[in-house]
Amino acid sequence: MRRLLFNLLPPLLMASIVCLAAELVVRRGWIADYLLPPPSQIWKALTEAGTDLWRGSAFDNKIGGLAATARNAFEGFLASAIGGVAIALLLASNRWVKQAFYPYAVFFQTVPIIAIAPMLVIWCGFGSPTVRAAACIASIFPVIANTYAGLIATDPALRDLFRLYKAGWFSTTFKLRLPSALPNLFTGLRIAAGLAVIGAIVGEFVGGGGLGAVIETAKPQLRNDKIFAAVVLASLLGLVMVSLVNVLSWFALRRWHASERK
Amino acid sequence: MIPSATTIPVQQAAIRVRDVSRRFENGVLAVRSLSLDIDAGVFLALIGPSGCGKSTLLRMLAGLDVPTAGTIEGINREQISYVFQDAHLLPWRNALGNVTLPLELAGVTRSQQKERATQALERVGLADAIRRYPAELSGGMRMRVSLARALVTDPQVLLLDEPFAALDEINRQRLDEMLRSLWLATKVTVIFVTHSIAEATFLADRAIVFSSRPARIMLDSVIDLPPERTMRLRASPEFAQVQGRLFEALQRGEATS
Repeated sequence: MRRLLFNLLPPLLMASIVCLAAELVVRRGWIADYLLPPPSQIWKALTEAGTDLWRGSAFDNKIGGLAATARNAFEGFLASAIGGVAIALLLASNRWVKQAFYPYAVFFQTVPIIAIAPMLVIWCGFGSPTVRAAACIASIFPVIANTYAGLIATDPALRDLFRLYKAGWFSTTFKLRLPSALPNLFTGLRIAAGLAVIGAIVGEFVGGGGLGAVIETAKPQLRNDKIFAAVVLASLLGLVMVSLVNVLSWFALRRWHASERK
Repeated sequence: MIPSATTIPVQQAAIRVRDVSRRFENGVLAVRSLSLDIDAGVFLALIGPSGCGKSTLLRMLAGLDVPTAGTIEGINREQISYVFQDAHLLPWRNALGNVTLPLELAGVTRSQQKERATQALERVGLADAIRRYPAELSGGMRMRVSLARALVTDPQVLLLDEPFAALDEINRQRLDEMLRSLWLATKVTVIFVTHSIAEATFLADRAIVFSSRPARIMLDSVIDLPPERTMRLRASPEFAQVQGRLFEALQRGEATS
């Protein structure tokens, strides 16, 4: 109980202070409200009747807003988790394979997602497919790099042990190398979870749908409060996804890895 | 260079090492034309200064390393177990899961795995700790799990590479005693690498002393102490006498390099 209090109280207190300060500076007229929408206005935008921030517009029956972003960001993240681990396994399987492919894996890290997003629309089509692809591309590299680092750092003595017992590729991979790379894998997933949300929103700017589209339409209407509301929702979404990874990591590592033991 | 000591002729050699050399890729010669016979069921200690090549010899016996010249015969690599310098357990598996691993990899049935692993853990005195994870065990207990993992397959040859070197003296002596009684009960061939003369004297029935790198045999000697060995033996004059002999050979080996 005391630990919970210690974990929650300081950040909540901090948020209240920042909100109060923002509210104050705008109400006093020190900063114009079109430059910094005060928290009360953002709250109003979040809760106004028929808003498209949460589930999308009431005019069409497609899901949009946070619901669409959450779904596509999560699916893109899942794809980069699975794909990233598979690529890392491939890279770690052989020195030559690594030399041949690693530079191109770095491509995912360095490619400006905003610049290739229009191409994604051409390749994948409007809406969800583009958004999922953008989320995946933006988040896959940390999974590849961290998992690969874990895979090649397998304790050499344990590899000898598996060799002595004539373990095949399957056993060595699933009973030794992947489990020993788990702590690194989770580090990669933690970074990827946040990046997937960013990738999804960028994808939505060009592909449409979700919070990205909400921001795009709010801009010409000068609904800055709504833009801020969308940003708040996107951040919360990222937070939830990172927390999800943290919970998984705790369950997987608590008995044996220093990072998750008390 | 003084010539190598003659090795003990063995009546029924199980393992024959003939003119084995090992040069590493960086040019270092770890072992130079080494020959020796190892009897089945013997407890053999290999003693030498750090980095003399004794571990390399052990790795070659295990098949983890390949000689650049010479041959090693008579080792059935399906029937060996290897114990490393540290416990090297899988940290994500509890004690039982670590000991079942070799059986799993050998395709033994699940119920058999559990039964045999539990027995092996009982033999090393860890019956109460089978559900505990390596991070929850002391260094000595982890090493016992490592021993149980090596014994669970009922190997013909047990190779140990300075297994207790990282433990404190009391734990080490306790594990020495345990290993000796396990050997008396099973009569598995044990090849034990160490740089501790006291440990070699206490454990082994035959000891080979190596010079500094490249390893040359300075002394190959039977250790004529009673088969049942307890802590008290360490204080006896016979024990001191054997130790003295091994120590003298070890010093000679270091001086000639």
